[in-house]
Amino acid sequence: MSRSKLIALAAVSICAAYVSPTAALGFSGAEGMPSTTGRVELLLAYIDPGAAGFIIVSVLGFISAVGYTARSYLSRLKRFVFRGGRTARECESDERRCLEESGC
Amino acid sequence: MLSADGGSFKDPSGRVYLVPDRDSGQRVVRGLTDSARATIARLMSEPFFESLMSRGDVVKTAGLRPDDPAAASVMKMGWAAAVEHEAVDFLTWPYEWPFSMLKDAALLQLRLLDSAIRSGWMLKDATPFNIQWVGTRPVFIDVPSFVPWEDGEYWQGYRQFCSTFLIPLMLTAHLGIPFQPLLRSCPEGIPPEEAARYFYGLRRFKRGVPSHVWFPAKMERRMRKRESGNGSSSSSKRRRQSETTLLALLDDLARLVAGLSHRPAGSSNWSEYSETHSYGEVDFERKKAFVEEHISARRPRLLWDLGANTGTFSRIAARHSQVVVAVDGDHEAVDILYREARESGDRNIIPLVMDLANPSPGQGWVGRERAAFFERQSPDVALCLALVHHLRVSANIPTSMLIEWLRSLDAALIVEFVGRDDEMFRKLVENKSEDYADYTSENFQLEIEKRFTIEDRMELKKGKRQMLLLEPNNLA
Repeated sequence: MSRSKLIALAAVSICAAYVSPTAALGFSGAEGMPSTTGRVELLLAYIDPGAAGFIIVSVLGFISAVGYTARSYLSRLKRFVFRGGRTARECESDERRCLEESGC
Repeated sequence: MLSADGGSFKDPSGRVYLVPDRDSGQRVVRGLTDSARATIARLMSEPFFESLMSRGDVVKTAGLRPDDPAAASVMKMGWAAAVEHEAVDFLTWPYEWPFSMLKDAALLQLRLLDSAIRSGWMLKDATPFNIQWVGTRPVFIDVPSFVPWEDGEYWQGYRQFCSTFLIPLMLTAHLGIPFQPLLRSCPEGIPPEEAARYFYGLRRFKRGVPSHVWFPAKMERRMRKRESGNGSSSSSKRRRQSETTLLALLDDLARLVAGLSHRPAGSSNWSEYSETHSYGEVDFERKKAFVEEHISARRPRLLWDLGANTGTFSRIAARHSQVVVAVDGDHEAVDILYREARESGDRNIIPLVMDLANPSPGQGWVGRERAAFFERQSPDVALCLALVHHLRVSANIPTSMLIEWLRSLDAALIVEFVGRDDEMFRKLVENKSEDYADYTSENFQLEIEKRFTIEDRMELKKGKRQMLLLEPNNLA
């Protein structure tokens, strides 16, 4: 990835962290919603609380991907600075192995 | 006569049956629908799945020919095909696990999903009830949870993962709230909106809370309001997620879970018992020798260590038993036992957190979905060392009822009776007004002799304690 693309990616990640995800995705809130009437309670019983799952997973996935990319470039930078280090791919596979070992 | 497993009815693609077998006792056979048969056949030819099975991360599974007697009896129930799973020694539920066991189970779940995604598969749910233990090793048992990952479908199990793994772990790690009672009363877990009430004020900035509790809770609230406002429910069928973002999310979650730890401010009542018990060195060695001698003579398949503490005697028992289920009510002691057993390679000890005065009841649909602790399997031998006086004094269980309960285990017993003149008993009752008149050596022996035969006995601490080897009396 070129330097300009990396900067653009960083800018997007900063924006993603500050812009309200609900606003970004076009939600307007619940203005005018009636208070707890029987009809609303009935409707709530039929709504899957996991319906927001796609948006949550997408936003968190995007932020994680930015972090993941940043970490991978950081390790390349470290290698460049300190020279003779391991490749980014080696670092990545070491991290994964470390996580697996700490797990079980 | 085959019996259907009480907890495997929710997935319409199959059902697990326990089929009696002359050689192994019983076989675990899963009946499958026609479409599930095709999916599982495809899955079993995948290199990633073979690798997971060979590493022991997924329960060993093999297809059965229709003429196999076990397969035939299952297919008579209307299933198109059958596969056999390796039997698990003893079923346990997540509300019986200490913190480190739930953490290891969560890491396994993430690792499996990561491997599956990289090979074009997905896990359709994410619940710790799909994980069991072979000693201190977590094993994924719900093979039909693996489904082909179709065209970038988003991870629908994320919310369930948070509710049943991540949030319970964060409640314990960040706030010191034990997750076991919460998971026992809500097996579906603690949803983000409910968890958000625990993480108020500055607590909402603890690691992982903003992204996996606060943000999902806020989104779910908004979505609920939006959909109740216009009455329409949005379809999830066309929603797609890229492999990169999903793998990155899994990587983030694995880092978060691996970084969670539970270190209580001080030691618990019992976690240092193995160093601070009231025995002299000689008596303690004699007690260990008594236990080892009688267990090695019996070589039980299943042994229960009731009141196991940090597992000094569980480890002795494990040398001569196929499986040891070590139970104690003290979370810190059991967590230490699990970590030490895992690190030292004791692969046949299953440590569980449970108050024996309030053991796990039958849970779920008609109380049979998750079997009660005492209804799963009877042990061949049970250790009950320095436990009876606690149940008598702290839980107020009359001596006769305690002995009746021990008889109901229908197992050989090694019991340590702590007499009234023992300093630990005196310490236990020093602030109690009741005198526990039925708790005497004479009455204990009388109650024992009604239901057991005393095979061996040994005095400890100059007669203040007694070790007894008991065989259940069939006339009881």
